[in-house]
Order: sequence, then structure tokens, then C-alpha cells
Amino acid sequence: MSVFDWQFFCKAIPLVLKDGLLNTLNLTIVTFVFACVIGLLTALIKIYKVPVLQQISIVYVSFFRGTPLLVQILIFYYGLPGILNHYFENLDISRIPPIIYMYVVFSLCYGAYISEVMRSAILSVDKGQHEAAYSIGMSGAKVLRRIVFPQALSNALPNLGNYFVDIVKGTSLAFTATVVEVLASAKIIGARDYRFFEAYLAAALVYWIVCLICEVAFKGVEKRSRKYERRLA
Amino acid sequence: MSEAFISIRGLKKNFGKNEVLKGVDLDVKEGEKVIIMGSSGSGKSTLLRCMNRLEKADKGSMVFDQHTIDLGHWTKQDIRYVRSNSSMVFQGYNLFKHMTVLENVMEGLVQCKGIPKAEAKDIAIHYLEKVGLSERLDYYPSALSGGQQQRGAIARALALKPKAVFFDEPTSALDPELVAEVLSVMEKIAEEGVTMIVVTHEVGFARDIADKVVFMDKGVICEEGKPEQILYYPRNDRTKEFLNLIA
Repeated sequence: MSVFDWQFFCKAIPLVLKDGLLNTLNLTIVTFVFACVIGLLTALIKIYKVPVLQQISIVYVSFFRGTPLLVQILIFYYGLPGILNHYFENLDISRIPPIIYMYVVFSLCYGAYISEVMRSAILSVDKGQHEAAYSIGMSGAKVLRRIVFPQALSNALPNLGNYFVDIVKGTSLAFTATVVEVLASAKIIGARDYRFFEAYLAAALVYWIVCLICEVAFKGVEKRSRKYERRLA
Repeated sequence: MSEAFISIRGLKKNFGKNEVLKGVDLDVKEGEKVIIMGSSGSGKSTLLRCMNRLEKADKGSMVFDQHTIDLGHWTKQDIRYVRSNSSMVFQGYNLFKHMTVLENVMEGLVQCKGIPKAEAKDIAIHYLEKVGLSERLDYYPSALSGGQQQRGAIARALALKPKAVFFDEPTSALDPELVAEVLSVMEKIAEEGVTMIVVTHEVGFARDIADKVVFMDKGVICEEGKPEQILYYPRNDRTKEFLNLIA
């Protein structure tokens, strides 16, 4: 048996793509969307110092940033079904696919990180921009929607791009909760012929390419969103 | 004497322990051009910002266009009334960075006055022509000089047809050679009859357009009157001192 079986490696790549890519992308995109929503709400709660909710969000961010994602996954995967079972007796928890739990825990975890990105992006918008908007008679909600968010978003994009790539790679932990994503499918394929090295290397290549595409895409979006900072229109 | 359009009584404002305004009374008639002068830290800008609630005063009352407001307790209606009937030009221009000049002027018309976009565009172009920016409609603020940005900001303030425009040191951040272009735009609009309250150090401008000059020092108005009286024959010592310094 040779050290590296090229043939197997080449066969493994399309298999990994076929079995795992969909779940990886699925989990990444759902997580990113919900994490952005959670992050934005948490940031606004902190900025406007909403009583009670502010204290809750401080504890929330602290917990999810202060514990490993893997531990959170295990807690949710092994804990949540029991809780659901206890409170909703009619619910057949065995019919809930494990990826649903992953949506929840990944969104919460990355939401905590992204809340800090959103907070600093919103605070980085010049105070004069708020004042000008108020002075022409805009309501607070409109000031946020029309003036602050568009500028904050372009400030946040580089960091959001980082977290997107981080989520892509982070989804590999979902295999511990039996979600068949890129890493899990590589593991299964590797186990069939006892060729783990080739299979894991195929998985790494897939992650790398996906991340490269995401980076390029984010750079493009960022460039477009910053068009107003160029010297000429 | 017509009744005052804006009438402020007993305006007090503290920043922490620092008493910035110590009981200011000010009357502004409709269409009047009032220039507020004074050294930095005298509370001029704060006075202006307390009038449209960018700063919340601690005490005092204001009648704005027959609408009485407790300056220490603004209601939402008060804020909406004053802000939708006034506008402000800032020292730092504060054009919305992510919008072109044209979009900046249209924004308030569309979002706050509910004017349809096509109509708002015509209005915006009209005002931008007036301030000499018709060739720069699609430029972002970052591509404009300070003077051009400030003229755009003046167009944004005027397009809303406010009853009063507050100018907060509109030329203080500009290079000396750009000051003239902004002042000439302001002189032009002064002739059109809108009520203007201007915080500035431009003595020449005050002399030419002011109906009333107000001199502030340490949180109080120490002298007010016709421009020739305040600028050439000041009675108050602080006013004399200040005018000697900047003349």
C-alpha cells in the first residue's frame, strides 16, 4: 500500500462534494444570516442600553464567546432534545433532524461574535451623520435604516467576511452531532477503504476552495459598498 | 413690532458640573437674521443645538412658531414640530457620506416630507443650482472640497423649505479662500426672507446681513442690538475685548 493513493484522492473529491458540500453550505448560510440578525439586535440592545435585555445580552455574549463551540454543540445536541421532550410531550423528537440543533447553536455562537462587529461598526458612524439626519426631521428608526446602517454595513464587511470564512470551517464540528457535512463525508469515505489521509486531504481542499470563493465574493461586495469613499464618483 | 417667531426664556444647560448656559433669553422675529458671536466656550453652539433638541436643555421655555415647548421636557410632538420646520447647517458639513449630493438633498424631501421622487429631484436640482453645484450632482461628498460640501449642506437645509435655518459655525472648518463662496451663498439666501440664526465669527458677514447681533460670554447674552451698534460701538467690556481680538 503506497503512502498516498492519488487515484483514491481524485475519486474522493467528487464524493465529498456530493455527500457533504450541501450540508456545509446550508449550515454556513443559515448560520450567517441568523447570526447577523442576532448580532445586530444584541448590538442595538447594548448601544441603546435597553434595561433587562442589556443584562441578558451581556451574559449571552460572555457565555458563547467564553466556551468552546464544540462544547456548546454537545450541550445542545444532547441537552435540547431532552428539554423539548419534557415540555412538549406530543413532540416526536426523533423526527427532528440533527442539523436543526446545529442551526440553533451555530447561530447563537456566531451571533455573539458578530454582535461585537456590529456594535463597533454602528459606533464608528460619525455622530454628525446622526445629527444631520435628526435635524432634517427624520425619526430615530429612519435614521438607523437610511443613514447609519448603510454606512455601518460597509464598515462591518471586512470583519463579516472573516466570520463567514470562519463559519465555513466551523461547520466541520457539526460532524460530532451526526450531521453529514464535508468532514463527516470524508470520514465515511476514508473508512470504507481505510484511506483517511487521502479523504481528509480531499476535505481540506474542498474547504480551501470554498473559502477562497467566499473571500473573493466578499472583497467584491466590499469594494462596491465603499464606492462612495473613492475620490471620484 | 410683530410678535417673536422664536422666543426663548431662561434657557439653562449644564454639562456635568460645567454650567454652559446660565439663563438665556432670546427673541427672533420672522424673517430676521440673527448673528450670534462670542468666544469659544461661551455657549453659542449649545444654544443653537438646544433649539432643535440635538442637545437637551435642563430648564427653560421656547415658543417656536406659536408652539410652546418646555425645553427641559420635550414631547415627541415638540421635537417633530421643530425639526420639521427648521433645519441646520453644521460646522463639519455632515453630508450623508454614502449618498451623492443630489441624493443628500432629496433624502429629507422624500423621507421626511413624503414628496414623490421625481418631484423631489426637481426641487433638489433647483436648490443645488442656486448654491452653484449643478455640475456636481452625482458626486459623493468625499470627492468635493469643503466649500462645495458646505454649499451642498446649505441646499439640503433650504430644500425642505424650513421656517428657520440654524447655522452652526458654517465657515469655521473651511480654508480661508473657501469661506467667501459659502458666505456669498448665505447672503443670497438671506435676501429671500427665511429666518436665519447664525453662529459665526465673520464680522463682515454680520455687518452686511444681520438684523441683530447677539454677543455671548460665559453662558449669558451680554449684549445685543443692531450690528452697527454692537460691532462699532460696543458697550460691554467683553464685547470690546473680543472684537479687538478678531478685528
